[in-house]
Amino acid sequence: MLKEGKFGYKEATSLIVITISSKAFFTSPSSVTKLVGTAGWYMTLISAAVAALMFLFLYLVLKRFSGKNIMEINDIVLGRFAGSLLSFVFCAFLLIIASINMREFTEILKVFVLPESPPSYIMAIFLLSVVSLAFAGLETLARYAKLLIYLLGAGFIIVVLLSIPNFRMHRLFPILGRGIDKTIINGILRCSFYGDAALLGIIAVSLQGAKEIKKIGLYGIFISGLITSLSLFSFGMVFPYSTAHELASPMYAMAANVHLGGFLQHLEPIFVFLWNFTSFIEVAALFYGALMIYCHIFRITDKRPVILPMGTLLFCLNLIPKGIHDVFSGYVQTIRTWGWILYFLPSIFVLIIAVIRKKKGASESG
Amino acid sequence: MLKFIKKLFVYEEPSKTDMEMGFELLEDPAESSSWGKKQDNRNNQKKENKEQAKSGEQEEGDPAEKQEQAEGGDQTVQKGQQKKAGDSQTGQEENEQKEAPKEQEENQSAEIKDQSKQEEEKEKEYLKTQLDVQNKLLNIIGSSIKDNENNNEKNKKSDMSDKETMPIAPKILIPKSIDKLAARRGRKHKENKKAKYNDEPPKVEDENNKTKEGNEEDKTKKENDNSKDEDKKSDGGNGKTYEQESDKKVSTSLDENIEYLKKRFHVPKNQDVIFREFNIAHKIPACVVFIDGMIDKSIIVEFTLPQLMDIDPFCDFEGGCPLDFIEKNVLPVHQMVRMKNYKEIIPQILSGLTIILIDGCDECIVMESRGFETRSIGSPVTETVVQGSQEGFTENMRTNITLVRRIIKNEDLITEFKIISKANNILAALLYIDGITNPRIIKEIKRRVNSLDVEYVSGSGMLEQLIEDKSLMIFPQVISTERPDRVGSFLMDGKAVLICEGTPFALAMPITFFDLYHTSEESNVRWQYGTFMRLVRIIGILLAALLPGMYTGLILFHQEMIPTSLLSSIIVSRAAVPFPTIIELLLMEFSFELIREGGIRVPGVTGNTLGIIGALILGQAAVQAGLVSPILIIIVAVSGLGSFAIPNYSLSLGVRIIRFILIIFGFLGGFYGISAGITIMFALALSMKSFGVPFFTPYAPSTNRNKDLILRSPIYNQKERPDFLNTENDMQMGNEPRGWKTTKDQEER
Repeated sequence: MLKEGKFGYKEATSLIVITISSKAFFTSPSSVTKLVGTAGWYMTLISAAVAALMFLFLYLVLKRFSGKNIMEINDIVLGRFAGSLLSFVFCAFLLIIASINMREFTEILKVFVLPESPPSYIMAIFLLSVVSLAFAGLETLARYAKLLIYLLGAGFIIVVLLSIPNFRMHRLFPILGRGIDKTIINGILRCSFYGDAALLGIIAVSLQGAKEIKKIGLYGIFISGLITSLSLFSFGMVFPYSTAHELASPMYAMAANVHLGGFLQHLEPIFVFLWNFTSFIEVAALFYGALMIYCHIFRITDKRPVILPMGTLLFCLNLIPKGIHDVFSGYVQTIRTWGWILYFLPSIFVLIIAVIRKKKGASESG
Repeated sequence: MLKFIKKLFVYEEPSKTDMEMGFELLEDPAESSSWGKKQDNRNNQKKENKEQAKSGEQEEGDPAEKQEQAEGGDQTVQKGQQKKAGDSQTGQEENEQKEAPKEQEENQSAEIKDQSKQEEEKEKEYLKTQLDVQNKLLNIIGSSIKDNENNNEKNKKSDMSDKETMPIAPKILIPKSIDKLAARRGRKHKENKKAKYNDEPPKVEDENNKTKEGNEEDKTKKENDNSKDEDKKSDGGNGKTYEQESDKKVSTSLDENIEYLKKRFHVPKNQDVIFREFNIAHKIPACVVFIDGMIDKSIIVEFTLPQLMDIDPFCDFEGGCPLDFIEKNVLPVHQMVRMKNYKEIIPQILSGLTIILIDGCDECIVMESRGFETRSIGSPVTETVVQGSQEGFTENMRTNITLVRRIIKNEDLITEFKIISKANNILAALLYIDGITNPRIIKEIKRRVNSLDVEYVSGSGMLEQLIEDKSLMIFPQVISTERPDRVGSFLMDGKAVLICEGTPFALAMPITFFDLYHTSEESNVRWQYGTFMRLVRIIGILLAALLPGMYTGLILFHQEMIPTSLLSSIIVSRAAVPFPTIIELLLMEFSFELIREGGIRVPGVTGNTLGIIGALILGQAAVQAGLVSPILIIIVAVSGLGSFAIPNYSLSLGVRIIRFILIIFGFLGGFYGISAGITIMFALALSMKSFGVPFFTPYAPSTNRNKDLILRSPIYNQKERPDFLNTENDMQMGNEPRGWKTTKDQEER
């Protein structure tokens, strides 16, 4: 039987940071540039702040029902049927997000690295990794994130540092981008970028109480915000606005532009590994979150038999978008802009209902 | 003279010190059949010994009691005295007997037995005579003893009443675990079958007892035969008799014991088991049993047979079962113990110990006599270091434990023993430091080892596979080392160590990945050098695992990522090669593995030469023939060197396997495929545990870490033991490990 086990805040924070910030390596930066111009690097900090605020509602719910995960809380507050329904919606949402992220990765990989490989072949290898991590369990996934975060962090910093010769400060201007109003509005809406912090509600039982969840969530959003902001800041200085919003993967392009002497050039290999590992962890975390919710709804104690069917479902969902344009302009944009509705609103809704119905779990000691 | 006769045949209960000695010997590796029960056994035995000692003191200090005992019908005593009286040998005769040939002595003892049988009718007369003699002796002993006798008379009455009805029986120390073991093997231990000294008088007693004894022996034999038949039936007649007859105990009949042992050892078909029959002090038939070649013959020839056959050592013997007397006064052997169950005795014989069977005794003496040839201590072959100890383990477990004890001279170093295989009776020793090692780890190791149900274990390699957590994992979950200093370091860290007979390796557990790439050399050099060596080793591991796969990915999928100058040289070197990259790489990797394997199997210096020459000639020839590109030779050679830098053989093998897997993944998807392969490997490795400790602790999961993992920090900064071991004592240094430094700083101020 697959057990979630317990893990510490470092592992959980690593998992959240990787899950959130991996999106910065794909199409999000160019979308942000298109929306707010050169103000993207601080717009994302606004998004992070809003997401942190939203996350506090989730924390309040978890604090109110200490020792329970969000699915159990839904059941308690809304009743078995309505609670399960809400959980099921969230499960489907996570699976869709996982599939979209996976498809986004597949398309990018096909464009830059494996142009001759069919998408389904890339997806099959991806799925193999995700399923392996899911079979190993949540504890292993968190440990993997913890182990790799140092390497990934080092890889990211190397790419940024080696790109410094390509930095042009004037490319950051106009500093307000397309206007402060657009920056703030988009900043609020794109808090969905940090919505993966809601995974903490699902894995709450594996963590050491609501206070630690709060710490993990806020730290995770803060660190992810810094990474995303730094990546937007650096690629904003490397590429002029006119070309930046056309790049499918600005960070990859930035790494490819590194040219220090005759030998130290083309740092894409470092970035490819960075890309791959973060994407595997991100999709595996979302996939495992969906798996946990599904198994909770249908009272399935052993998750292993569900992994392969759900993996097949993920693969099938990946095949739905017609092409790269559908993925980048349609699904990804929609999720990044409106994803917060399903990431954060259910917890606010549950909290309100719990207060109205005076539902309360065991208080947390200490 | 009469006193001598009395001592020769009157059996006395062993004193407290004897019993304790006996138990302590049972604690010895060779004798102990189970671990974990030591303290319980010791407590129980101490209680019994105290009780026995009380009764023993009473007996010794109370000659009148002995007299009453004799008068009350202790026929054992009377008969022995009758026999001796019948002999009525003078001092001259005794001297003559010493000089007489052994055959004559044996005949005399046989005649004595015959005479005793024929003289049954004269028993009463002899009895009277003996009583008179005893009374005279008691008068000689003196008034002080008589005072004690009077003072203790009341206390002794209850004991006497018991002793009047049955002969005194020795308490036989049987480890509790026998029952457990018997139960584990699906056999019911016959607890109700007490020693024959409890139920039956010795054979030299009177005819009535003899007949009873005979009947009971017949019953026992029948029971044994029945049980054997049942066992044979249950096994379909194939007969695993070493298990089936495990409850058989030493009989009072020497002939029966010899016959049984011969049957068990398949004598005379089996010709290296020696049965040497002789008479103790020219009187009592006995036999030593040992395996030729396993023992130090001088112990038998110089220190056992002469002492036992000679009469002089027995001049103070008071009679009864002579085991106690022999143990205490006759045999100058440093380690011996008494046993009565063949299940325990036979493994001792097989281990090179010698047993002494004595007629009339339902126990035998198991005597240390091992003297087989062993390899001397040499340098470790697989873990050589430049600075540090040059001693390595040998195949002899005793030697290995001694090597560890020489490093850790600490009374808290505990060594527990256990036979781990059923057919070849291989012994394993569990070493840990009481007060440091987490008891739960010890408990878990014992649980796993005790639960083994295997016929054959050749050594630590097989044991490792039997106790590891997950057998499908590529990485080892137990570290195997042949360095005693490394074992010492593990023990002081709070790990437990298993040393097994037959292989020069010890198994330490629990471990993490970081233990596998450490060597003992780092501790013996300054921290800068140690850190440098570890960094080189990490790079070696990465090169060994990743380089060929990365090369495949780079050539097949990511040519644009290669710097232009490097790309051009690769293209030029590959131009003449007819094979695809993957075939070329696999061909070379396989050739390299073949050379390496061949180099190990070819003996001595030739092996190394074969490796180097083979690689050079084969590589050069392959390049010249245009079969492989020169750059590939470099890739294969560098990855090979990287794998040589891995200090642990199991990890090295694991990395070599991973290399091939990653080559396949590199072929399938380039860097993307390698990333997927690495993720799958990590998913497996991170879910792996060694005795409950996750493999990548203390990094994943995070725990408080000792500063001696990837980098080697200065010795004085390594104050804490590894947190993940949950040791009973966390600190391995004081707050100021370098006290002189603090003092010096204070003085300068």
